[in-house]
Amino acid sequence: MNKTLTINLAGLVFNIEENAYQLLKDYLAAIKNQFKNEEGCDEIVADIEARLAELLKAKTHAGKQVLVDEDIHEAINIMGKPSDFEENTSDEKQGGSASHNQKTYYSNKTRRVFRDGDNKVLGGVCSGIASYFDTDPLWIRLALVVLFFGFGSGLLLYIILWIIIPEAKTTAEKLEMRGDPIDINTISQTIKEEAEQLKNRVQDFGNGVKNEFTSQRSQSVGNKIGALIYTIFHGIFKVISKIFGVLFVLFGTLFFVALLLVLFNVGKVDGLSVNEFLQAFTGSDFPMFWFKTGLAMCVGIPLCMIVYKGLKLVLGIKTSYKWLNLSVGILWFVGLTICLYLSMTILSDFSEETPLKTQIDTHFNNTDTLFIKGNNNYEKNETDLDFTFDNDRWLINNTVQPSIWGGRPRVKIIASENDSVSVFMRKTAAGKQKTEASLRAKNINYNAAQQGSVLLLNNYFSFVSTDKYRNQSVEMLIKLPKNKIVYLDNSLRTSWYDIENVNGIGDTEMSGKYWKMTENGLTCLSCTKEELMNNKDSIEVNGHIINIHDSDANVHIDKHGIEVNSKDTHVKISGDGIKVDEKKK
Amino acid sequence: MKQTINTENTQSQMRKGVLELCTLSVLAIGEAYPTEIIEQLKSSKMMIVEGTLYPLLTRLKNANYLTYRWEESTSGPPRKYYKLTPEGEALLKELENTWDEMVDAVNKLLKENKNK
Repeated sequence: MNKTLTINLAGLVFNIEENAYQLLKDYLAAIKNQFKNEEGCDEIVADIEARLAELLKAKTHAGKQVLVDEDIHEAINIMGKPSDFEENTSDEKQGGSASHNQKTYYSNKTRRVFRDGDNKVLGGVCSGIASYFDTDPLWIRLALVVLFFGFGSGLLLYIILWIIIPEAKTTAEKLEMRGDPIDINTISQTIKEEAEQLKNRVQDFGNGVKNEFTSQRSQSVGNKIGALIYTIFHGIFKVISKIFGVLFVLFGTLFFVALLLVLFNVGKVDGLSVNEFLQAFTGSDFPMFWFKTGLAMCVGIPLCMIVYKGLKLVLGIKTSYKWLNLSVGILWFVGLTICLYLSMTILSDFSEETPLKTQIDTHFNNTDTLFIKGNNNYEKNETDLDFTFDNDRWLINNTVQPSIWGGRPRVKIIASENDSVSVFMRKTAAGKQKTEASLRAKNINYNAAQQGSVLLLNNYFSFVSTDKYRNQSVEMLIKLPKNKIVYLDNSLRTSWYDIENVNGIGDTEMSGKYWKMTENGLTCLSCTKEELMNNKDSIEVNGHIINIHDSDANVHIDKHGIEVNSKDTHVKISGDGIKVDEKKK
Repeated sequence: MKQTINTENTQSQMRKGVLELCTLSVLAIGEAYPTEIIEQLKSSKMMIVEGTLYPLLTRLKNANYLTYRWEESTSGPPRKYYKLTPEGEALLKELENTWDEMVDAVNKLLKENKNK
């Protein structure tokens, strides 16, 4: 059983099957297109319609009232393809545009991609592509199945192709689907034709210019230049758009696979698996599934659209679907909202930061050298996760449940206002409210203690992972009186933090050396000449303070005045006047 | 394969070139409607497809070489019966001359080359 339509062809009424109707319609449209630039176009089409009606009328009788595909095909065979209608004489009448008109439905010049509904397993995508490339659909199907195991990218590709490639419904489209194969021959043929066309245009243009110069009609020259430029750029644009299409498909697929890897917890971020990394911020009560769904939507959708656009460019498909753009847009927005909302709940946890300050009970003898050492309170396990995040190095011990995070403390040394050594500890953590933040800070486990002339510091501070990563940090502040000598042990080489010194030596290089606190800051006592040479001259601007160093003098300018310190003199200019001291040799 | 397409193309171009002359010649005998013209052309193996004829007739008519009148048909839509105008007859004569000259010239050329 087939649906039929009733049509009026040249005043005669026919019952015609739907497929046959489509075929007839395409044929007439192609004819119309063929003659569209001709003077008597309507008349020619009407004549042909009349003849078709006559031919088709002969196909019907009392026993057969409906026209089928076969009848139309026969009639078309008698009438011929529109491309056969082309007459030699038409060149004079239509000029360059005639060659464009050849590109009609039946010309079979170029092949286009369609889904092949006749040989389909799912949507006919593979068989359609196979006939585009002249291969067996089996290979395309196998390729897609293999890609499917590549994190489902085959499935994505299939769905996108299913959406963008129209199905070959009419006979004309089916013919086009199997049109001239795209191979070296046809490509070179096309290039030749295009080149010929371009050559003709340039020639036309040249002749045109010659003629125009004699007749002084520059307007038309302008038009011709415009047309020429348009042709050239149109060609270039076509090539570029194909290249972009390929790039879009490649990069879109690549990033999409990357996204899937992230979502399915493959790969590492800063040495942590994706899930562990996310968990560190989110804690275990976080709706991770929804976050990932949101992420998939708000990142994956644009990537899919890039692949989609790319495929459209490559295959030269122009159809677009409003409903697709709209629904994809809505999905993307939903995904974005989920992501933003969940991110905000995490970010709000970082809104307040409360430092917890305590002074460590120490009684150092001023004359002894102070040794600052790490006590190696934690040895790194083989199984520990070791990563750097936000410039800080972290260890996570997963052998215990809940796991324990370890971070490096920061140790700072400044001059003391009084005559004794004092040691301060500052633990910091973030939270939604101040109370939450200070509770977290309190939960940080860190110890510092005096042992004779040694200040022993933990190499790591630690907190339990149920506390979540909320910017936890520990800073030790050691204040030294003038002339105090201090030894910075190698065990804390990564913990020295922004320690100012006269010699301008970097933090880690300060380890393993003796330092003396002078009026100008820490001064190296055991540095080699080379180490000092490297940092000989410097100008340092620090807020309202300017420090100028060189090998034998030091100039210090601040709000109190100017102070110059050299090997043998000390000059101070301030509100109290000018004071010059000769140093004893 | 490319070669055969080109051969066919040349052949059809040749036929198209003389189609105008043949059509005029058919109409010189008397009025005819397209199907009749086609049948005669076909019987002398001149035509490949019918579609070629319609634009040709329209062009000749628009150039004043042909006129037509409508006639009702029992088996289909009304038919256009074409006939030559005086200008058409003149054109036919001119084309006939050209054709004769050309056939002679081409035959002569082909024979000469064959005998070489």
